Amino acid sequence: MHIKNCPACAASYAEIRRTLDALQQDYTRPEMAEKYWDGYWNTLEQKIETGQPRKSSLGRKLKEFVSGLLPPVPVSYGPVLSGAALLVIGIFIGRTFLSGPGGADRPVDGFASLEQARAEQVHARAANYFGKAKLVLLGIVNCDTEAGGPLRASFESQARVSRQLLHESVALRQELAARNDAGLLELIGELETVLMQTANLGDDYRVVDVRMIQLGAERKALLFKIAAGKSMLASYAADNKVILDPDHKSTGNTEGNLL
Amino acid sequence: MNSTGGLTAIAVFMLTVALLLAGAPTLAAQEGGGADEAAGAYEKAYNLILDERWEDAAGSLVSFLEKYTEDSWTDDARFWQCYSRAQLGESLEEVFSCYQRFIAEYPESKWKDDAETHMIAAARELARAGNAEYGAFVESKNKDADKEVALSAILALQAMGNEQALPALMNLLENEPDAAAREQIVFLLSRFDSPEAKARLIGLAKADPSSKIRGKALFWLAQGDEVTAGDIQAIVEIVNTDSETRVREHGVFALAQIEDHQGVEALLNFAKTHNDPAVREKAVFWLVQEGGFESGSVQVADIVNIVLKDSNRKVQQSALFALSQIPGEQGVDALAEIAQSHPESRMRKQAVNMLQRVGGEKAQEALLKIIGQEAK
Repeated sequence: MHIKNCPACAASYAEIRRTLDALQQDYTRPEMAEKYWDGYWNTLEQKIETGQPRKSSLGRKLKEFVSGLLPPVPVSYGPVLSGAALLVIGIFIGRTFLSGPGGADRPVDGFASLEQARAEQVHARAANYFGKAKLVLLGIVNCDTEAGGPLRASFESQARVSRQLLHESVALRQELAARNDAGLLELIGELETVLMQTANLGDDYRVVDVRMIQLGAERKALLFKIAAGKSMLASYAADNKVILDPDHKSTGNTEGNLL
Repeated sequence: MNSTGGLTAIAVFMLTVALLLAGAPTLAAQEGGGADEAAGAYEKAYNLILDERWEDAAGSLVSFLEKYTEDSWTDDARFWQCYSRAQLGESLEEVFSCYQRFIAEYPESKWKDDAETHMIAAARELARAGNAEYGAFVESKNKDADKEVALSAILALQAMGNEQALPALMNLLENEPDAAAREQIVFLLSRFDSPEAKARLIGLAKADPSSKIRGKALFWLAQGDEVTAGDIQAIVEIVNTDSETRVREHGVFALAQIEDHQGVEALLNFAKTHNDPAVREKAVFWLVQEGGFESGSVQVADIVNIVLKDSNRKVQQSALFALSQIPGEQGVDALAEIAQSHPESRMRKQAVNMLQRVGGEKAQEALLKIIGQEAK
């Protein structure tokens, strides 16, 4: 694998792994939701058996809870939770640890409330996430893997951006969970498997590796789901008269990031 | 063959192999030279796209297309050229025309579907701005032979509030054998604020042959803005009748997701009486997580009764955990009582563990009392 020969990539990968390990579980079964439920409740059982006091710090509390809740992950590339699993964990974490106390109705800097300001910030990040994921996926799904010969692309950049997106998704999911934005969480979670695979396309990738990503993206209709996520964000923006992508304010084409 | 002749033959063979091996990379390099140069140039432009440096990307794509008019990357570059133009804020009419020209020039390109979906998205925004002809274009695509394009058009029509969207979606759903397509349709149905769409969604949640689709339908049903008593009743029915545990669990989760604690009553009922322990276990968990106590519909005694009366160990554990999660340390007294007086030592131990989990002054006092009692 490429990362064996690339210390920077290995470090970056290890960092992603550390973050995602907290939200991962056994990947050997193709249908993750059932496995998730089994793992979740079995570990909850262990948790109850052993018992652990609450921590005072939010970060520690979160880390302790999540890492203790889920079983260890076999070392390999690609294992990620299904959207459903991420969703349920995300919502539980968000509800349990991230729901801020009071103050949500306080007006802030031109927004109707602090709550609205937070919502718009999270939605802008989600729009950016979908936009970026689309750039990666379009490049991969349209790569010609059927010609027979070696591919002419390196996929190094897609791998780099996929790693960034995986970092981003951890924080984004937590924020969406805190807002109980289950629909967007579901759609973001759906992208993770393919992004994880793409993040690990090294110099020595094989055509079959790329083909696998293409088939995964196709089977899960990921480009449609990105469009669906953007559509949800656009509805929200229309309801609240928000410009989702501030970068396009100056050009007048505020729909740029929604296309 | 004598030994000298044999050695000569081996030497000739080895020399031939060596020459071939030495020549192979050179040959490959010669064959791939121009192509690799084009690939490198394309990759440079694509990297700029990934970094969202749209002006630089546009310049790089122009250079590429000037130099490589017939390369296998040319259609890729042309697609990204249109995409970059949208990002640079060019008028949507120009962006639309750009994709249109792309499709005319590269009808066999792998990017054709994506170009069409981007045309639809641009047309949607133009139609919203009052350009009726673009609305007609989107309408014309909702029956496209390519399902991906048709679904994108329906998504756009729904966003435009076009009345053709739902009938087109219903039509697409009829006899759709592909589960992946039905999953997309499930999402689209959930976007409509219409009793007809909701009824169809409920129908899929009840009877789709794929348990995955039934679960997705339950999920998106619960995400709606207006979930009625009838919808809740339908979810309850599914949790009671679906043959797969996984779907029943999705139903429990869906109930927990319904706004304003409307699903709490059903969750409490499941937690107490459902015949599937997996359903009872999840129901009691979500009951507390989803504000059952804040709504006033659930009392500590309800959860204590589950701990004491349910025969399933996992359900008991889930209920104990739920007690530890009740806001305002309301579950501490109950946990302390169980820790002191439950007939099973396993349960007493778990209750102590849950008190530790709760933390805080009240739980600590309860723990000290238990230690004192044990010491006697």
